[in-house]
Amino acid sequence: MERKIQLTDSKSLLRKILMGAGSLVLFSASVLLLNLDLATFVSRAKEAGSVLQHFLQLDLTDLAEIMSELFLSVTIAFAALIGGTLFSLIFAVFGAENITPHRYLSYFIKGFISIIRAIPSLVWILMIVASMGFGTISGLIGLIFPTVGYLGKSFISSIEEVPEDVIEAMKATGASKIQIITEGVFPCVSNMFLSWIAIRVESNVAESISLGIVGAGGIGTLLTRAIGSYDYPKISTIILMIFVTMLALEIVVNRIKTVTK
Amino acid sequence: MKGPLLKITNLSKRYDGNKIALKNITLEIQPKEFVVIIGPSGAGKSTLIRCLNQLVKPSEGEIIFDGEDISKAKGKKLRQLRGKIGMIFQHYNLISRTNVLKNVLNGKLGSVPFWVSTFGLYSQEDRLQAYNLLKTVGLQDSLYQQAKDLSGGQMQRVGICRALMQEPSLILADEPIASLDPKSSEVVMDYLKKVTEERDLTCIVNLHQVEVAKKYATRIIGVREGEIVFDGTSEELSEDIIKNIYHLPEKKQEVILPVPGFVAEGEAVYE
Ligand SMILES: Nc1ncnc2c1ncn2[C@@H]1O[C@H](COP(=O)(O)OP(=O)(O)OP(=O)(O)O)[C@@H](O)[C@H]1O
Ligand SMILES: [Mg+2]
Repeated sequence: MERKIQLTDSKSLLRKILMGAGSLVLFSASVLLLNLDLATFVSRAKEAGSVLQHFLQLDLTDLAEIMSELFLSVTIAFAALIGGTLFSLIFAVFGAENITPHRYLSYFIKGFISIIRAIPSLVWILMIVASMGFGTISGLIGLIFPTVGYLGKSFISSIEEVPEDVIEAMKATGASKIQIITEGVFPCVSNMFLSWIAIRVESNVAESISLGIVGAGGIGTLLTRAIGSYDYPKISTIILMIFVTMLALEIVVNRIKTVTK
Repeated sequence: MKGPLLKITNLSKRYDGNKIALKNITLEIQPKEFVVIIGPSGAGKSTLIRCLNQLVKPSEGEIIFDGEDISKAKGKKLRQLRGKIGMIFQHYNLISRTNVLKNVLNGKLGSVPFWVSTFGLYSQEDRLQAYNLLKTVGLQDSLYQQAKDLSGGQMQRVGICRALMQEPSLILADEPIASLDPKSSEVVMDYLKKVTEERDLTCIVNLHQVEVAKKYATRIIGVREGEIVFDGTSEELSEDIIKNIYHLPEKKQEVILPVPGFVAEGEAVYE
């Protein structure tokens, strides 16, 4: 007697079909709601070739300006990283549940960090720009928020994973609170902290570039201006320089990450 | 010093208001005693030893150590008293990413200001003392090795050195050899016995191997369900008494599973 053997049971098959149908409905609904002007897109698509051609040119006359603005963006990113790291360290020491002086202080700090994280970085930067005006300082302060949101949370979770053993052993020697942290906790987490910081380098530079677009100084501001004046060669040059910078950073960061493993 | 080093009166411990782990323990320990506490799992051995240096807060009772009530001490006073009590742990509790020498110097934490430890400003005398301690346990060649790269037996010897670095008058050891193979266990117990005798220290050790207890102890205390059921010398610890300590009438004894690696010949060996 022949018997067919199904690869999946009917229950999970049904689930897959339902999920497929659901995604299809969701996609069509979104497209319809967006009111996409497909006609324009198709008619413009013919011009894609010539636009692409414009983009293929580079304009090196403003290279000095581009480089100095790019340098400014990277500087903002690193300054925010250092500032954010300091704040995060303080928050972590008081916020990690296993070493906090008081449980409620820990809840408070964790809640505060969750609020920071719940608001996207661009919104933070826009709020700072709105209240402090355009400029580098706004960019710097605005960028510290997402940095603390990321590093603060990561630092706290690293410290909370320090085995209770270690803290107990330190206590038993008669060590003070500060000594328990500097001699017991920090040696356990320092490598992890370094790799959290290294991971954050890339996001900080990327965010620092995009925050220029909303008027907080740096290469982003230059890019917006070039786009506004349809200066294709300049746009290409800027994008190429950004690309090179990000690539270089990624290589360096990966090095650091393998070393601290 | 005259009189007992440690005077425990009516010590009780109840975890989170639930089960009683220690019931009305009253006990005196004289200087230079090598006391081994034995008893079945869950008897309260660790709780007792941890109450002595307040890693566990007792629910009731009084612990007079070196003439002072450590159970009432707080803050600086407590740290100062803890500094006089060295502790050795089952899992060594070393700082794994820190080198051997610094791990031993951590024993000084109770007596140096924080900047000395934070910035590595230990005096040459302290460093030399740490070196000499490591030499007595045969680890003088591993000063700069990270603790995580040592074997279990070596880690425990570093643990002993850290405790001795405190220049304590009392050493507590909670199952110091429970994670070691028989050979390393013997080495570690021999060192522990030797260094405490040389320095006239008092030592309280939790063990679950009765044979080892008999070999090293000057006094054995049997604990069962939070109460002391035996207190005497190795000679007085008879088979019947051992049975009594380990026998739990109402409860079922825990089933002891075979340990992988200790299977009989011909049986599967786990990786
Ligand atoms: N932190 C804790 N919270 C709640 N109950 C605990 C805690 N520590 C120990 N106990 C309970 O207290 C009792 C005594 O535990 P203790 O660890 O002192 O026993 P022990 O004699 O050291 O056992 P073992 O030989 O397994 O180490 C046990 O019933 C245990 O479940
Ligand atoms: Mg125990």
